[in-house]
Amino acid sequence: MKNIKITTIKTAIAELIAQASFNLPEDIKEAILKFREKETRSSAVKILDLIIKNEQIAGKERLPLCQDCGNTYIDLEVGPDVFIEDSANLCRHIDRAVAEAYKKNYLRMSIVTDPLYERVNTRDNTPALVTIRYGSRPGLGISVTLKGGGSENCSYLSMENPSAGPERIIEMVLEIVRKNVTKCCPPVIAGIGIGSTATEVVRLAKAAAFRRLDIRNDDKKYRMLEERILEEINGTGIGPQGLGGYTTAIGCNIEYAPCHMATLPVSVFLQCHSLRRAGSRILQ
Amino acid sequence: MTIILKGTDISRMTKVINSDTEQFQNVIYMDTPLKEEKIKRLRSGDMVYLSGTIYGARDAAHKRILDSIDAGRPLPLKLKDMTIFYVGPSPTPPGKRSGSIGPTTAARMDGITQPLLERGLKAMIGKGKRSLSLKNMCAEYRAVYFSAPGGVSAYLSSKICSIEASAYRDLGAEAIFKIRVKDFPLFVAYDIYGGDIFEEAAAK
Repeated sequence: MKNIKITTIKTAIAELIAQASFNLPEDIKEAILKFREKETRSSAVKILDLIIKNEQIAGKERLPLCQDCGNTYIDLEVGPDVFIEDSANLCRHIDRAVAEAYKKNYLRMSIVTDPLYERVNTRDNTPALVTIRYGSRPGLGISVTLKGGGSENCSYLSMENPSAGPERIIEMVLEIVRKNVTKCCPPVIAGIGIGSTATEVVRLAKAAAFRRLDIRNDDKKYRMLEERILEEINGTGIGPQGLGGYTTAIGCNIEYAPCHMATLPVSVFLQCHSLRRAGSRILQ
Repeated sequence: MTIILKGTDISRMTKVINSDTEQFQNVIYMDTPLKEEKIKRLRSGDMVYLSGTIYGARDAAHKRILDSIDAGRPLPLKLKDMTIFYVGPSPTPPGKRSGSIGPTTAARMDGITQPLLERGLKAMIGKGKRSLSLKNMCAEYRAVYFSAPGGVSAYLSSKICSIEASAYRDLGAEAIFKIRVKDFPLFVAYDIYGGDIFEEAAAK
């Protein structure tokens, strides 16, 4: 067994938070540049160029890509060979690491305590949203995703009729895009969860939104649906920042899972272009 | 591609022609305060580079301003001819003039904006579509809604001369901020004539 120390995990989390805050992932940059080539409208080209320029400034000056430094999601994948030191207090240690990283890197603290009454800022961006699962790969996988509030507000859950087909999914996504995409900084990534249950389908949609754009769906039918939806979204003409153009979305990812015969849960996440994610694996 | 036709236009206004839509777009440099005579010149789709003092305020600050108005207490900022930026900036690192800064979703402020417009608010800066009633208020109160590019906040920080929390400091990122900007890039989203950049953009 590998004994992984808490300090090692905390250091890794702090580094990943900084990396995600200051640098756009390669696949997102590539997608922006690819769509820039297709874009004909000058205002749209200007916005896409600004996104690339912003990324360069953020990395160089160590300023966050977006002022909304998000909810902090920490996903751990525990390999079969891993023993985590003081695991009973793991979430507390993770919160400590998040608090220190946000303070040290001058990231915005956006979390409030009681959601309905006091809404007092916790002043350290905790609690982080931690999930831990067992995996088959050796070592401890850590992934950090930071999700802003504007695009979080563009999250949807619908319990559809089991007889609804792919056309209904397309219609639903387009309805959401037309109504709300300008509020979450287009170009977006449409993350769609289909199946499982009401609680789990939202996780699927989030996983889809954060999946790398160069990883395509294994299933051909779903892959074609992803391509079709992306094309349809970009047919709306809404464009970057809603100022018109082709690039309303730079990607569409679908994650699906088996579901109860009486249900067809569907969840849609519109993820902003400033997709903050970073990951690493501790092997020693 | 844009072609600049006239560079020496009156009052620092440039006409550019958008080569794909073949329509003219005004590029206007403006200073705050945005009094009515300036507001009248703006049309949806115009690009504005704004300079001067503006105030940052978002959800929680709006709630407190409204509470103060209801209770008849003095307000922490003058609203006459004021520009309010819906923003919660990231902290300013040492040696820098500003942290990352950018617009938050404006629609969340739709239901709590009228009392501010009644008191002279002339311009709002945010991102995204707003309600029909807010759009109508822009005409009624002779105010404009600017859309700022979202998610490019490190870039936008380079347009900030200074920023400081000026009231409600206990709200952290949701405090009221006094912000001095220089050539801050904006698009006129709603003008006082019913123009709507989002409808016009999608229709083209």
